[in-house]
Order: sequence, then C-alpha cells, then structure tokens
Amino acid sequence: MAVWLLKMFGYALILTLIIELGMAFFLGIRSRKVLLLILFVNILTNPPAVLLYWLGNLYLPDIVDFWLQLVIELVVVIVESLIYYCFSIKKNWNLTHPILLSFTTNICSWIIGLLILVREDFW
Amino acid sequence: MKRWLSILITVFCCMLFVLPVQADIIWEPDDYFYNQHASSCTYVNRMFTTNGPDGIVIVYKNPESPQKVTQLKNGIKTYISYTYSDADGIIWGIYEDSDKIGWLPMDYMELVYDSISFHEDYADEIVTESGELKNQYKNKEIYLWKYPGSEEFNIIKVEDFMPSYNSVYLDEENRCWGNINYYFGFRDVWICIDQPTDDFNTLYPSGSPQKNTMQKDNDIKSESTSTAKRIVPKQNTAMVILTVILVLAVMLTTAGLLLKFKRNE
Repeated sequence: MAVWLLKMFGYALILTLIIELGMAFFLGIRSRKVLLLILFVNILTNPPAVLLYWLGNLYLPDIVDFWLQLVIELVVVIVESLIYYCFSIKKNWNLTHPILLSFTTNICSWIIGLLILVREDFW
Repeated sequence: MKRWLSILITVFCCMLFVLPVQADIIWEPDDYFYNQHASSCTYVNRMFTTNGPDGIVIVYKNPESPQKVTQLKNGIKTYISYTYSDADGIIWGIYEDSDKIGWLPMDYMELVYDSISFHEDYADEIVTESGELKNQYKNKEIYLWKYPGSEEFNIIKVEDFMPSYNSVYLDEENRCWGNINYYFGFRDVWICIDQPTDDFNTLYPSGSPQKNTMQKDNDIKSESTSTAKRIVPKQNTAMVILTVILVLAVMLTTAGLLLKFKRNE
C-alpha cells in the first residue's frame, strides 16, 4: 500500500508540475523566480488536495465525489491566487493577473488529468 | 488579456471534448478504487449468487473503506466483472447496479454454474473437434444452451450461416453437443448437434444431470459461512495517519521555503 500511495502522490505532483509550469511558460512567463514560485506553490497545494480526495473516497459516499473534487479545486485555486497575489504586489516580480494564472493553470491540469484517465481507460 | 481569453476558450473546448470521449471508451467499472488498482484486478466476468452470513452480503465502497453502499439478501444473482485481492489475501469482487457500485467479499459469493464450470468439470470428456451444424436445420429455430444440461437457453433462427463448433461433448444419453465460441452475439454456448431443435423437457425429461451436484456444494458452503466472523474491509489506519503526517510535513516545509523566498526577494 505504501508503494501505491507513493505512486499516487508522486504521479499527481509530477504531472501537475509539468502541466502548470508548461502552461505558465506558454503564457509568456519566463522569469525564473516566478516559475520557481509556481513550483513551490504547487508542492504546497497538490499533496493536500490529493490527500483530501483520497480520504474523501475512503470515508464519504460516492455521491459527493464530483462535488468533493470541485470544492478541493476551488480551495486550491483560492490559496494559489492568494499566494500569487502576495508576490504580485511587489513591483520587481512583474506577476500580472495572479487569479487568472491560478485559475487557468489549475483548470488545465485538471482537464489534462481527466484526459489522461480517459486515455488509460481506453487503452 | 487576449492570450488568456484564447487559452480559456481552448480549455473550455477541451472540457466539451472530454465528455463525449468518456462515452466512447471500452467499458470498465466506473469506480475510483478500481481505477487506482486496475493493474491488480483480475477479470472474472461471471455470475454469482449471494450467500453471506446472517442472510445478507454487505457491499462496501471499496476493500479499504468502511462505508456501506448497500446490502444484498442471500439468493440474489449478480454479475461480477473484476476481483481484487487485498493485503490479507481476501478477494473482493466489484458489484454494479444501475445506480450503485461497490465491493463485496467473494467468500460470500457462490459461482453460478456456467459454461466455464462445465468445461472445468468435464475437461476429460470434451474433445477438440470442429464442425458445423447440418444444413437440414437451415431456417429452423435452434436452442443455444448455456451448457449441456442447463435450463438456460436462447432460441435463434438459423438463416445464412450455420453455427460452427470447435469442441464436442457426449452426454449420458450419447448425444453429441458442440461448443460454439460465437454466433450472432452469443458467446460460449452449446448446441445439441443431434437434437438442436428440442427443448429442455424433451432432452432431459428427468431434469438436469448437474443439479444434484450443485445443491450439495451449496449446502456445504452455507454451513461454513454462517459460523465465521463477517469479513469487513480492513483499514490500514496507521498508513492513513502516516500519510497525513507526511503531507503536513511537506506543506510546512514548502510554506517555510515560500516565506524565506518572499523575504529574500
């Protein structure tokens, strides 16, 4: 079970980092410190999100599955937005639209995660 | 701003794309535990009858969750697609209903005798031999049996293509039965080659020859399950607590690094 848990958390984090950093790069974010910030923020939010979802699946009825995902994603977006905002008020950071950054990167990682799940089921 | 808008629109289109793709995938249980442990699950694809202690079989959310999904009275026939063996070696089967999905202990499930069971029981008497049903049965309705001696059948009218078999079995009455892999949607079925149009009462006026054996096995199993302690999902609480602690540690460390990062900048 330990191996399985490590794989679950590991894959989720690596995938999220690849997608969100890739997305940020695509959006024109080239600053190393901003990319490092995005890295730290995702290491901060992704493991607890995966943990909450895993615990929800263990202890909560199936019917709340989608809503649980939604609430967790919302909390992640809010927390990340707040952190990006804290850094965006500093002039030398040049971090515009912190909320939009958080929303877009998280939606992308969620969608791509779903697509990967669908592809795995298909094959 | 335009770039953000275009990305959001693209993401929205991807969301629309996901839904129809999901509808087209090859069928597998839509279950979180199954998705996470698919590589450890075994494809079963057979029918079982419930036979749990105290007259019920409890269906749980998954083999590691105490959440009850539903409970089934004994005697209910249900289809099990996949099974999973937990850390203690207990085998759990996935139960699916129109609106419920969950896992139940396979120790409380009795296999419904089927063609696979027949193949196993009569392996020595089933001979590999290919052939086709005689043309005289063209445009006639034939019986496709679950297995020789079964009361379950489907009737099909033979039209352009005669059913072909790839193994044969001789029953107690010396009648030849052929096993058909596939015929117009019917998989792994049997035809009585000598009497393909006869019904059950004509073939077995004294009843099915397999019935008596099945009944004895069922009685023995019922006695053994009623006295044993009920099988429940075993939670690895220690692992859950350890995982929570580790995640909190990662969060605290990362939060500390972020604060340090902010101060340095």
